[in-house]
Amino acid sequence: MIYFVFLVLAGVFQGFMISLNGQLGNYYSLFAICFFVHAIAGVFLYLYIKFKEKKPITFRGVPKYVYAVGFMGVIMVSTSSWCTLHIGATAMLSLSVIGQMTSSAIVDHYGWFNSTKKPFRLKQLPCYLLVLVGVLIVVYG
Amino acid sequence: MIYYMVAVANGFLNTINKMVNVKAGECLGTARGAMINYIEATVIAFCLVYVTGNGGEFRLEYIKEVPLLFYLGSICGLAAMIFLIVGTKQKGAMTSTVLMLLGQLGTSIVLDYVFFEVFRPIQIVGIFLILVGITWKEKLREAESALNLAKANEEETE
Repeated sequence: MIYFVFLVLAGVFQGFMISLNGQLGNYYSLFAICFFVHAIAGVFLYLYIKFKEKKPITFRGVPKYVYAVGFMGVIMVSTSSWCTLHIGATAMLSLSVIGQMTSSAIVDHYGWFNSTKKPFRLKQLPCYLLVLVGVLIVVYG
Repeated sequence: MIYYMVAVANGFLNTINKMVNVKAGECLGTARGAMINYIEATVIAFCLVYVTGNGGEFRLEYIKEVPLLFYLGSICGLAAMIFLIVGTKQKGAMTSTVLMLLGQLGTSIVLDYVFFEVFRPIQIVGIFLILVGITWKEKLREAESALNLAKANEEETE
């Protein structure tokens, strides 16, 4: 039971994160929001690695495309804060679900990033349509 | 309309970002993998603030004017990551996806009411449909994975 609570709490904290980052948009430009969001979390993570894991920090030995992750982080935080400020966190998160489901299906279908190929089946289509209807209700209802 | 399109694109990028983060985690460990993201994004964002002429936002007096609560978003993000890792290890991907989404959307409804004073009960119906759709999709996916595994085992014994 406790793990169910943990998972709901993970979602609750993510919801808080998106809403609070959106609120920062009332005071800062989009890139400044990105700066604070990543810098504050980075300091905490650095302290965790330094004092808990007690190992030196190195970033060698990763494929080159992994270094694009910071650019993606900036784009994601700035766009989510921008959208949250204009359409609200609920609509932003619901629409994001559509994007996540579509991109997951494409990644699985083609087996990108060395993932196991899982071809898209037509029988999955009603699930996607149901989610789409739900999102439309959240956004326009 | 542009906000809706950007929100969908954000979700699209989210999946790619997750896959890349997973790769970074495999090579360096979860914490160091995440650290690359934070360091790079901090430096890039810092430069972009000055390039776009908003460097004045980093004045200490201005930073102090913003309510402290609003800076806590990233701490919430870290807490979410810890709960997600612990929960997913015990309950699997499907349960974690659905429960996390339930928590996310439920919280965002409450916070939209708190910050924007907007509450539309019909949104709860929409969220219910989203959760049913995702649960259904994950169930189909699990069933197919189990079938593939059984087929592979059969071929191996033959």
